[in-house]
Order: sequence, then C-alpha cells, then structure tokens
Amino acid sequence: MNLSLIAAMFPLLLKGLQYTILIALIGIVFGFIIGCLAGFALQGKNKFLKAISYFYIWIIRGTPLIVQALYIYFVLPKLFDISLAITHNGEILVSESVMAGIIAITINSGAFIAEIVRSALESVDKGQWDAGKSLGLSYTQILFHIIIPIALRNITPALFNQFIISVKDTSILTIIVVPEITHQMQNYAITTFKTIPAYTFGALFYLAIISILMIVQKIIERKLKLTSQNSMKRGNSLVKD
Amino acid sequence: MLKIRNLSKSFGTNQVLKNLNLDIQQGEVVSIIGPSGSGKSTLLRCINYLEEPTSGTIEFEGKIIKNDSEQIKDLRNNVGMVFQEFNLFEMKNVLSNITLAPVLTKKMNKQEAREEANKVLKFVGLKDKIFEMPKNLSGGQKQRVAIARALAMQPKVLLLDEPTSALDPELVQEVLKVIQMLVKKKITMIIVTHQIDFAKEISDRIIFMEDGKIVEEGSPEEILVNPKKKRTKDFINSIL
Ligand SMILES: Nc1ncnc2c1ncn2[C@@H]1O[C@H](COP(=O)(O)OP(=O)(O)OP(=O)(O)O)[C@@H](O)[C@H]1O
Ligand SMILES: [Mg+2]
Repeated sequence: MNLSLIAAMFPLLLKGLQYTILIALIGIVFGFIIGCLAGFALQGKNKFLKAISYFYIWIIRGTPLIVQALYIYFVLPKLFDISLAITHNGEILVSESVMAGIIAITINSGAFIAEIVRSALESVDKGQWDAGKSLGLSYTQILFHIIIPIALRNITPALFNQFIISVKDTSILTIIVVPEITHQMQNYAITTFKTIPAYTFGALFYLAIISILMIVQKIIERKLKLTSQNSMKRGNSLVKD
Repeated sequence: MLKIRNLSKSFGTNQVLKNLNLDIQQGEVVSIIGPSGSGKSTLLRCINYLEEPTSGTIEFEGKIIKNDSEQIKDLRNNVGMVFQEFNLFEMKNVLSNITLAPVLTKKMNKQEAREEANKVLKFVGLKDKIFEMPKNLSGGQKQRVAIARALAMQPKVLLLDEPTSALDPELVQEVLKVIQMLVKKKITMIIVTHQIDFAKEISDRIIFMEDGKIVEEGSPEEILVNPKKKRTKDFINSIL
C-alpha cells in the first residue's frame, strides 16, 4: 500500500462514506419510527396489531439482509409495477438502488429496534405502572408521562448500537450497486487489479469509521450513566443482548 | 365508607383471598398484620383495583365499583396508595411527582397544583427537596415524598403497604412520624405493617390475616394482648 494508492482511493471511499452514513442515518430514523410502532404493538393489548408486528419481525429476522435487499431491488418494482427511483423534472434525485438500500436498511433495523423498544418497555419497573394507576392516571397518561421517558433513556445505547450495525450492514448493499464504501473499494480493486492494497485500505477505512462511532457510543453511555445509576444497567444489558 | 364483600382473588389456581369481608369506617385507622404470603398486599391492591377481584364486591361511599375504567379512575382518585418500594416516578423531580396526577386527573392548573405540592411537602418536612430527583433522596425521604404525592390527591382513604419495610432501620422513624401526623389529621387509613408496637399505638382496629382470610379482628388490646384464637397468639409470639 503506497501513498499514491491512498491518494487515489481516499476520495472514492469518502464518497462511499456519504452513502453509507446517509443510508444508515435514514435507516435508523425511520427504523426507529417503525420499531416504536411495532414495539408498542408487541407490548400492547391489540391482538391484530400484535400479530402484524410478530409477522413483520419474523420475516425480517427469518431472512438474510442480502436477500431482503435483492428482493426489494429486483422483485418489488416488478410486483407492483413501480420504479423505486425518485425523480424530479426528469432528473434522478435518488436512484433505484439507493432507494432499495434505504428501504432494506430501514425495515431491517426497524425489526430489531422493535425488539429493543419492547424489552425497554417491559424492563420499566412495574411499580411505575402501579404508582401511576393508584393515582388515577389512564393507561396512555402513564405510558406517555412516565414509562416512555424511562424507556427512551434506556434504549439510547441500544439504538446507537443498532446504528453501528446498520453502518456495517450497508456494505452488503454493494450487491444492488449502491455506491457505498464497499462498492467503491471493490470497483477500485477490480479496475486497477491492486487487489491486496485496495481491500486492505478499504477495511482499515471501515475500522477507522466504526472506531470513531464506538468512541461516541462510549461517551453517550457515560453521559447517561452520570444522569442515572441503576436503571441504566438495564439499558446497557440491552446492548449486549 | 368502604365495604368489602365476599372478596376472592386467585392468580391462576392459587387462591390468595378467600371470601373476605371487611368494613372500614370514616376516620378509622386499621392495621393489617399476618404472615408473609397471607394476601395482605393483594387485599390492598384489590381495594383500588390494581388487582381485579376474581369475585366479590368493593363498595366505596355507597357505590359498588364495577370494572369500568371511569369508575375505577374515580375510585383511585379518592383512594391513595403508598408502596413498600416507594415507586416514585424516576424521571420526574419531587415537584412533578406530586403535581402530575392532580394536573392530569383533576384538571388542576399548574399554579394550584404547585401550591398544593408546597403544602404537602411542608407537611412531610421536605419543602427544601422540591426540585430534587428521586435518586438523590434517601429511602426515608423517598417514602415521605410518596406519602406527599398521595396526599396531594386529597384522598378519602389512604392504603399503606408496609411503608417502612424497605427502609434502613435508622430511617424508619421519620416515616412513622409522618404517619402519626396523618392519624392526628383523622385520615382514614389501612396499613399493612410488621411494626406491631406502632400498629398498637395508632390503630383503632387490628386485623390478623392468614391464608387469605381474616382470622381475627378487634382493638389493639384484643388482638395483641388477649388474642382469642391460637393462630393469632402464635403469630404474635413469633414476631415479638
Ligand atoms: N401478581 C401475582 N401473580 C401471581 N401470584 C401472586 C401475585 N401477587 C401475589 N401473588 C401470590 O399471592 C400470595 C399472597 O401474596 P401477597 O403479596 O398478597 O402476600 P403478603 O401477605 O402481602 O405477603 P408479604 O408479607 O410477604 O408482603 C403469594 O403466594 C404470592 O405469591
Ligand atoms: Mg405484601
């Protein structure tokens, strides 16, 4: 690996990084929304919503992400006769492959976040519910005023962990030609035949990015630990699950 | 003001309360004693419907409570509860712990609720802790805030489930003192306790429960000094 290779590859990897981060970020935001809805449904009383959530999680956890991505990219548009691309005045704003990637990462992280949300809701001390009920508060009042603030604090580390997983997961989107980091590195290796240095530099690039995220994660965890001692233990154990 | 008729409660096949009858008069202070697992907590939790009775009725101020959310809410607005584990809302400071329910359920405005909070905090001697978070309080302080929180709803009956059992010995007294002040204020109370001396001092009536039934009830003198039933006698001897 020499400096000229690094100089040539670095801009490509940075370009890939933009896609990687963009997709992972959108994925975590919408995955969080989906995950909350599904997580609440799992924890709630409505059997129909519960069944839908279980079905969703079963499908996502029961198939590999790469198959989900292929399915969304190749099959969905055919099935519904739609294009996944977003265009404006004939100009492509988001390509089909990027859109498929976003959808894949979103629904995938959503399923895992649903479990995170469910267990966070369940891990809230039952006494909090008892106290709320004993004061005459309704189910929704207790949920929104008492339980959700605790659950939110407890899931933050797990949520960030899921973000890191999503960042790594985007690498499989190279199969549907999303121009993310892995795709850039592969392209470079194939077109220049510098297989060993290209893949090595690409791997180190990932390692650097993920390391930075892990440091941020540690800082967040420490901050949360400072603001609360005991209930955070539950939040941390979620990460290790 | 409270009439419990033929109350039974089962968890699965485990029948915890067995056809229990109990009347509580306004202003009365009733202590419930009995061995672990005899159903004392379950009885209290049935009174405010934290547990739904399997059969039997709870009558409050002449109205039989049906399992309907409005009626239960109304019941709970009038029946306060203090838990062994305090159960303060973890993410809310002392003030919000106290004002949350009055504002949400009694449509009290923030200013009124805050004045009420000041009043009840003063009563339990914790006015200076108004902006503290629960985790920064000692166990005794937590329990006093929990009592203040219940009082802010101006309950007609207060249920206390072993209010000092989770406390370090040196913190018990400050909570008992507050309960004594409640007795002076003639607040109707049902207290589950293992503190026999304290029960003797404050109670109008003591109830001995075993195995989901009321074995014996009467004045502190009758139950603690001259119990009629052998099981009551054995229990009292066992804890003295
Ligand atoms: N939510 C529940 N689900 C199943 N069983 C329960 C539940 N709550 C209580 N029980 C059972 O009911 C019985 C009576 O419990 P309860 O807590 O009312 O006893 P207690 O008299 O308050 O005892 P202690 O002095 O230990 O607090 C116990 O056998 C307990 O295991
Ligand atoms: Mg108990």
